[in-house]
Amino acid sequence: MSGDRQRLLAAEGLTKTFGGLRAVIDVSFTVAEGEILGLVGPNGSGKTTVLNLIAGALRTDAGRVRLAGRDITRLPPSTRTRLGIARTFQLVRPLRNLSAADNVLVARLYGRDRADFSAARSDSLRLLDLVGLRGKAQMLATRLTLTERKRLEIARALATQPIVLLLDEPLSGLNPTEVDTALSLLRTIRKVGITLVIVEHNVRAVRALCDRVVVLNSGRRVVEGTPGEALSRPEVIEVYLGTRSARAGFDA
Amino acid sequence: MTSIHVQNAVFGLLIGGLYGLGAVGLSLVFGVLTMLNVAHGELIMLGGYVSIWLFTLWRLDPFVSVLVAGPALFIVGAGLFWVLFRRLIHFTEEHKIKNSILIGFGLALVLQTLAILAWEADERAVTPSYAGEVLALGGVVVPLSRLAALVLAFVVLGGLHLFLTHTRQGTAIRATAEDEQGAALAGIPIGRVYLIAFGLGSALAGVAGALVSVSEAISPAIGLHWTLKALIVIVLGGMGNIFGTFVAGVFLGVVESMSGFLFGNAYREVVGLAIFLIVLSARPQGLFARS
Amino acid sequence: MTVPRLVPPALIACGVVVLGAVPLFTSSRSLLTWGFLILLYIALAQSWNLLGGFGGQVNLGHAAFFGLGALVTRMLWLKGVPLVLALLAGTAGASLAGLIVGAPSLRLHGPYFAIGTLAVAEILRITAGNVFPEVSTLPARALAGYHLAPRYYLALGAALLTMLAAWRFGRSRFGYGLAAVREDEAVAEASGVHAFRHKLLAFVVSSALAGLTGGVFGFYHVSFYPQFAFSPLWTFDALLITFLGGVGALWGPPLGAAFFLMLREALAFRLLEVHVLIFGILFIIIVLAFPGGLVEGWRTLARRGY
Repeated sequence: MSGDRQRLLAAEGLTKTFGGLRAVIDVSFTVAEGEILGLVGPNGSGKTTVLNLIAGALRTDAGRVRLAGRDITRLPPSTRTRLGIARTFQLVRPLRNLSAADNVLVARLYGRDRADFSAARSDSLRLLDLVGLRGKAQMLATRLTLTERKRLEIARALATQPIVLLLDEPLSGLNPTEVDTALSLLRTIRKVGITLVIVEHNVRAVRALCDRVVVLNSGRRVVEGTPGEALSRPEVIEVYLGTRSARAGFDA
Repeated sequence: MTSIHVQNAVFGLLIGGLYGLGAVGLSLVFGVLTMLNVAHGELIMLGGYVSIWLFTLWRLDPFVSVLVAGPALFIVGAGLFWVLFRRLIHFTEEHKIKNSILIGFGLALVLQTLAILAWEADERAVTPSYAGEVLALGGVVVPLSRLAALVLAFVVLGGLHLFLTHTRQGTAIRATAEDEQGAALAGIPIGRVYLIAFGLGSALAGVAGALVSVSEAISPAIGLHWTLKALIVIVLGGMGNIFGTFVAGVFLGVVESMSGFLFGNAYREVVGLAIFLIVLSARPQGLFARS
Repeated sequence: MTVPRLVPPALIACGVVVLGAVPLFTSSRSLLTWGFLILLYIALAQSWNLLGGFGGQVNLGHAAFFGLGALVTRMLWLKGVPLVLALLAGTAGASLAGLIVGAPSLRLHGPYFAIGTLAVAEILRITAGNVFPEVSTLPARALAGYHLAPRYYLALGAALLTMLAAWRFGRSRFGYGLAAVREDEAVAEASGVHAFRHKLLAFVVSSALAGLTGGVFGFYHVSFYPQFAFSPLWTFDALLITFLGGVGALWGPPLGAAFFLMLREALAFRLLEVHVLIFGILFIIIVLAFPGGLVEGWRTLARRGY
């Protein structure tokens, strides 16, 4: 059982090809229970594809995905959600013509440990409160601002009662104050025992938040380790060279 | 016995060329605008009536009427785009497709009804002096006017190919189909390209309709029939490939002709539709899918 | 529900009682026919709305299931099968067809579902015309005992059943899942909703109720060509009424059906074509300019305090 704790989520040799393009090649890593793992790498390195393979939005060409030892490679995304894998989308996608509360309610009704209506309703409002959207519960999702939608997306994912939460660039498009708020929200989420896998460009935030990082480049795993050691490796810096903001992050 | 099969194949080939031509316009519009005009068959029907009208009024040869039907339907198509479909261009792709289908569905009914009010519900045909002439090759008969329609369909498709590959306007249309945002960034006036593409797609329907009138009767009700033919051909032949569409049209024509012989004429349509459903199910992402 | 109720439950109960009592107080042919038609159109449109409105899947072959129900029910009934069994068989046949058609076609995205269902309906229409080319007329025995009241009650039953289904679709867990699928399948899946199963169930319920409605129609008509019940016009009427009233709204189809029939009555052109023309244009205008239909208009007025 302790082996399962160490390997709560395992990617084993994931490979995905789009047409002739090899987006992800033989990528393996494991995530321990309670950990925050960062998936980093330049644009087009295959981070989001890996996330989609784990969530089930894409089917792997080769390799396996395991959750607590169980092979979930062939399961549809909804079943994975029910088993405890939640995700957010890089470009936020709220259910546009439903209210903020109903966006969360659906996830609470269908996620892991399904609730009945009245419990689901009160849970949804509690989650909206957590992400600071309590006052906008009855507003249609289309009418929320971008940052509000990002927070709604996290509330929706949390409503599925996840064991593992996959976050695709949760900080992109936020200003520094909002980044701080988001980071403290993510720490709160971890405290309740949810394991996090985060795709993120903001190197500073990755250093501050992640226990471990997996660095991808051109679809392959380059390095894995603590943010301190992995991100200062020469091959990783080489991967990132040329983007000023990334270098600034390394220098810090 | 074999000559019956050859004869069937020849008839299939002759009608199939028109299936191809009828489909190209729909494919062009979908490729450029991501809108599926399910009233395309009604535009073909209107093209047919242009030919019949000109023949009845001035005894104008249907092959000459093509020169009128094309431009006339270009104007009709451009007008329909301007009044109706233009309002969808800012929708998301999914809503664009869904709403264009809904509008096309309503439009099909409107155009069909207008045709009934204008020309009454019964079938009409053109009867030029050379209508009955045939070319006899061994035991096989080839009606000359149908052969000429096939050749003309092929010429029109060749002209379309040259237009799309060798002119500024054509290049702009292809660029928009390929990558709309990129085209806009490159300074291509997207709104005008949409208008021209929709007009051109409708003009092709008009030409197809005029050529159909050479060999088949026209009635207000034929629209759905031709829309379905066009959809089948596009799904079979793939998107954006003019000659692939032509080949798929010919294939459908021959298959229908053969199955009409095998299962009885009443079911020739059903066989084509069944093939369509099988292809759709086998390739759920569809052959429309842009890679 | 977050949206204020348009009609309170007590009013609904009164409405049902009044509708049920109509044949007791009048035997006016025109009134009963009018009542029958409005109920039939409510059932037809609401059954389309279940999948098209609540589920967001545009089914252009709805007439096929209506026609199938009409064909099966009428044939069995004329062969002496008890009416209730014949109606059940028609409903079952239509739902089976829904399952067979839905399973492959609901995996299709974008325009493929719409054009796939259009093709299926055309196949069935042509086949029905080939197999049953003769007009089907009630035999003298059935004609002698022909009464409108039982037809009216059957239409009332079909309409109530579809309304009940739509009410469940709007309020249940399944309804929320289906709404999520309509908005964004990927997000629905990420929320734990099995999109395909939801769409398939909605399709089967939708075609079953279309089949039942068709069965009622087959029982009503004195004489018709079986192919007529497969005409794309039935699909169009279902779409038009639903969009008129409000697509994806519980009270959309009843409002739309009432408006549709009143308008048809008011126009009263001798030519059917003029009606079709006007309704076609009306449909396009609604899709383009008033996608919320009458229900949305009503809500807007209510919000402004009128």
